[in-house]
Amino acid sequence: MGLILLIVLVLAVAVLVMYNGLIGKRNQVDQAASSVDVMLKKRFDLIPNLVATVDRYMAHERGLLTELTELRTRALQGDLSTTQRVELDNEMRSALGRLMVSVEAYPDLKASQNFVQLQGALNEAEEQISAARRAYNAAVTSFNNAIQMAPSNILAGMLRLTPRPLFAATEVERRSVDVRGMFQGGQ
Amino acid sequence: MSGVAPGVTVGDGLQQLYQTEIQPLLDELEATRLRARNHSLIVGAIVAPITLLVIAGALLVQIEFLAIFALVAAVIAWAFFTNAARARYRDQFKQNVVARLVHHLNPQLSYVPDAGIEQHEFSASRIYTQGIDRYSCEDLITGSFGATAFRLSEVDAEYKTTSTDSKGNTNTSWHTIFQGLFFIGDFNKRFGGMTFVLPDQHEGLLGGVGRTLQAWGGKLDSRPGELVALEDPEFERAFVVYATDQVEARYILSTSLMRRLLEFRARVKRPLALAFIDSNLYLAISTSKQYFEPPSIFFGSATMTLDDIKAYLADVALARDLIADLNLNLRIWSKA
Repeated sequence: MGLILLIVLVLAVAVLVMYNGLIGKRNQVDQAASSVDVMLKKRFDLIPNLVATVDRYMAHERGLLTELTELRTRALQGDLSTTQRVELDNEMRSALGRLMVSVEAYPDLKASQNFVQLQGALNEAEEQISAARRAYNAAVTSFNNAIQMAPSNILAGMLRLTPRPLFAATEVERRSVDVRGMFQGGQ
Repeated sequence: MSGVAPGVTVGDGLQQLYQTEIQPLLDELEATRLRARNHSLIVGAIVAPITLLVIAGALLVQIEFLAIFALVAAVIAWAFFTNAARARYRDQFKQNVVARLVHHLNPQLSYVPDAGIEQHEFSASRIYTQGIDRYSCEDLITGSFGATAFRLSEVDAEYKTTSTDSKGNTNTSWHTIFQGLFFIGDFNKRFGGMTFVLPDQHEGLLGGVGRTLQAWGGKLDSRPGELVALEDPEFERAFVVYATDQVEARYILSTSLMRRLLEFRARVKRPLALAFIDSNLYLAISTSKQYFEPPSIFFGSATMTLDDIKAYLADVALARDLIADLNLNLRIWSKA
């Protein structure tokens, strides 16, 4: 009788630990996802400033600036799915990349203190977004491992926890990185 | 004689500097060395016979304690009477030769043989959490290369343990916490939390189990932060990372910095430990080598060859190489 009680107790504690572990990992994924959002928003917030600074110099690039402003407006509308946000982010990256290349044609702008500062802030936002994505991927990997590996996969099945997708670099991003590299190399 | 930075590139200027400036300094230094050696030998020649007489007498009347006492007293007396001469030789080497090499590397740098990274700065890094009972530092090099300001010195930090045996004798023994070169530099990104990159001790051996142990270990010592699992497997084998902020840790440890750290570690072939706090980079290179010390007064000669001087210059250039290797002068972020 005592032995059965002991086994039940041990099992209950094991399930409890596993349950808490799974929920903790799931919450870490959510937290990491929200930090990606925070970092993305940081970059969106730089756009009005950038447009205002660049506007005076770049009379011929109006189209590009309008595109950036529109992207930001769309991003701030809210109720976007993660996929949509990632897509917007990719477009934003590519537009910024094109802008940075066209800046080469405006030496006054390139040299202006305002622009240099903004450029630093943009680079920083970029680096932080990439850091947040890596943190998200690490959290997702840990979560996916937990719900797919024995024995916690049994409990995860009962809780209907499903694997989350990882962030992957898209074709657009790979290209935009190259463009940025060219631009920085030209300084 | 090879230093921590064997791959240093030494400009053509060194050969000329060696011939016109270093060689005359070395000749003077050799004269000082010979004086110090002769002085030490003479003191030894006076102390040794007296000591032998006392020991012989003590053994004759069977007071072993006195013999041991005489031996210890002799060593102390010899050290006392020769200390000034040895210190003069050492100071002359540091103030003339090492200082000249530092100046050659970059005239803006400053070199102070008797100063170092202060204990509070060392402790502020929180790389080593063990309480310090004895601390010494020397050979401080400060200045900046490019946009990166830095301080570098030798540091020796120890703690002591005392035990009492059954007879009531207390034994004190000293243990090294850290011995080697300690670097504090201005990091090129701004951040507010703390990130620690420490040599890996478990994971290489035990994989996932090791990672669990690391997570517990991180909680056990007083260092703040939680385990950060990074995606570079080679980096994970070499280091273990704790941080107060998961995203910030990855912001600091970009994929390129992880690669650069691995390459730097492979080059210096010594254990590395890093801390990133308050936009500063703290880097500890553990090594038992004594840096910036002259050749022994008894063996060898102070008239060193160009290659010997190159090796010293390589040591002096460590901070410059570190800044270049970790790309700390890349200032494309909002921090100027």
